[in-house]
Amino acid sequence: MKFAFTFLMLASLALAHADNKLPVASLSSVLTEIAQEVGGDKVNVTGVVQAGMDPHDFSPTTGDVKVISKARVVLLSGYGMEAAYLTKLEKSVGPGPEFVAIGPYIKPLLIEPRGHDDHGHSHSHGHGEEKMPDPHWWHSIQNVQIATDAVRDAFIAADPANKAAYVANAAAYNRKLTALAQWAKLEIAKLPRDRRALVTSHDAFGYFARDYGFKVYPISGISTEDQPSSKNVRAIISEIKKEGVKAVFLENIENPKVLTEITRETGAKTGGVLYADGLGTGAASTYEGMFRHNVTAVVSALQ
Amino acid sequence: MTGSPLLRLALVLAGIVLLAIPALRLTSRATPERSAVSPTEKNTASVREVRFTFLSPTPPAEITVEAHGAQVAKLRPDATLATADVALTLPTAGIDLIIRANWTGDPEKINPLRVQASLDGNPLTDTTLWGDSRMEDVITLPGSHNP
Repeated sequence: MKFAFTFLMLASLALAHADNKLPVASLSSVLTEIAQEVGGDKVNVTGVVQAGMDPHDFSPTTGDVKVISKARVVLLSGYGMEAAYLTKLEKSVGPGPEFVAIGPYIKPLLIEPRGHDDHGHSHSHGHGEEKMPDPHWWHSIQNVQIATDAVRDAFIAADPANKAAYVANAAAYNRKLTALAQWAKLEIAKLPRDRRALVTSHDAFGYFARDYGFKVYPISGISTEDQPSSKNVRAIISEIKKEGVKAVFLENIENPKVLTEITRETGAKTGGVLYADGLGTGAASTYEGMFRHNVTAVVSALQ
Repeated sequence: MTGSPLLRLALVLAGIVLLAIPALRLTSRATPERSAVSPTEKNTASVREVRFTFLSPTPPAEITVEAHGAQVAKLRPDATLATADVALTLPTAGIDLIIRANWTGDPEKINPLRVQASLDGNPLTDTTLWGDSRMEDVITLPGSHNP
C-alpha cells in the first residue's frame, strides 16, 4: 500500500514536471532539431512536418491542428513555405500559440518566379518582375545559426524563467555549426571553382550556391510542385554540354524521371541523392548529417 | 562483261561498301553527345609563379599550402616573416587554397597568420587566418591574369 502510494506520488510529480515543459510545434524538420537543441529538457517539441516529408505540399490534418493549438510556440520556415495553409491554420488554432517564422530574420536570396526564368540557370538580371525570397534558408549554415538565435529568443519570450538554459544551449549548438561550416569550407575547397555547377530537380540550393561559389541549374522552380518546362530542360541540357558538367543530382523526395533523361542526353552521371527540403533518414536525420551528406555527394561527384 | 572475275567481284564489293556507308550513317542510332571537354580544359588556365608571404608574431613550426588535394608548398619558417614562390595553375574562375599551420608551445594560445599572395608584384589576396596550435583554413585567389 505504502509502495503504491509512493509510486503514485512520483508518477504525478513526473507528470507535473512534464507539463511544465514549454510545448513547441515545428513545421520544419530542421527547426524541430534546432528547437530540441536549444530547448533541451525545458521544452516538449512536436515535429508536425517530419523528416522525409515534402514541406511544399504539406497540409495539416485535424490531428496536427490539435497539436499546434496546444503549443505555445509554433516554428515555421517562412518566406512562403507554409503559405498554402498558414492563414487558415492561424485562424483555426486561435490566439494561443505564438507563430515564429524564421524567414524574416534572414537576409533573403531573391529569385525570379519559375515560368519567367525559363532559360537555364537561376540568376537575377533585372527583367522587372517581382522576385520572391527563396525559403530554403537552411542550406546556409550561417542562416541556421541565425535561426538558432531566433528560436532561443522565442523560447526566452515564452519562458523567461529558463533563459540561462536556452542561452547556453543555443551557444553550444552554434559552436557545433561553426565547426561544421569550417569542415564544409575545407571540403569544398578541394573542388575546382570551375566545376562548381549544381544541376538539381528544384531550385532549393540557392543559399548553398551563394556560400560556396556554385552555379545552380534547377530543372523546376522553388517548389517541388512546379513542373519543369521542356524549354527549360532543353536549355539545361545545352548548358550541361557547354560547361562540361560532370554530374546531376537527384533529391530524396523527387521524381527522378527528368533528371534521368538529362543524364542520358548529356552523358553526365547521376551524382547521388541530395536532401533539399529538410532532414532525411539514417545518417542524414540530423542537420549535421544532412549537410555532410550533401557536401560529400557534391564534391565527390564533381571532382 | 569482260576482265578478271576476281577484279569484278572486288569492284562490286567496293560499290556495296560505298553505298552502305551513308545508309548506315542514316539508320544507325545516334550516340548521345558527351562532354569530352572538362571545364578546366575549356577555361583558359595558365601556370604562374605566385609569391606567398606569411607573417606571424610566433613563427609556425610548419606551413603547408594545398591546391585541390595536392600539396604545392611546405615551409618551416625560422622568422616571423617567410616567403615562398609557388608555380600555380590559375584558372579563370579562381582557385581555393587550403593553408595549414601548426605552432609548438602553448596549445591554448590563439595565433594569427597573415597570408599575402601576389602575382608580378600585384596583390591577389591579403588575409589573416587564426588558429590555436593547429590551424587550417581556405583562401581564394581570383581568376588568372594572363601574361
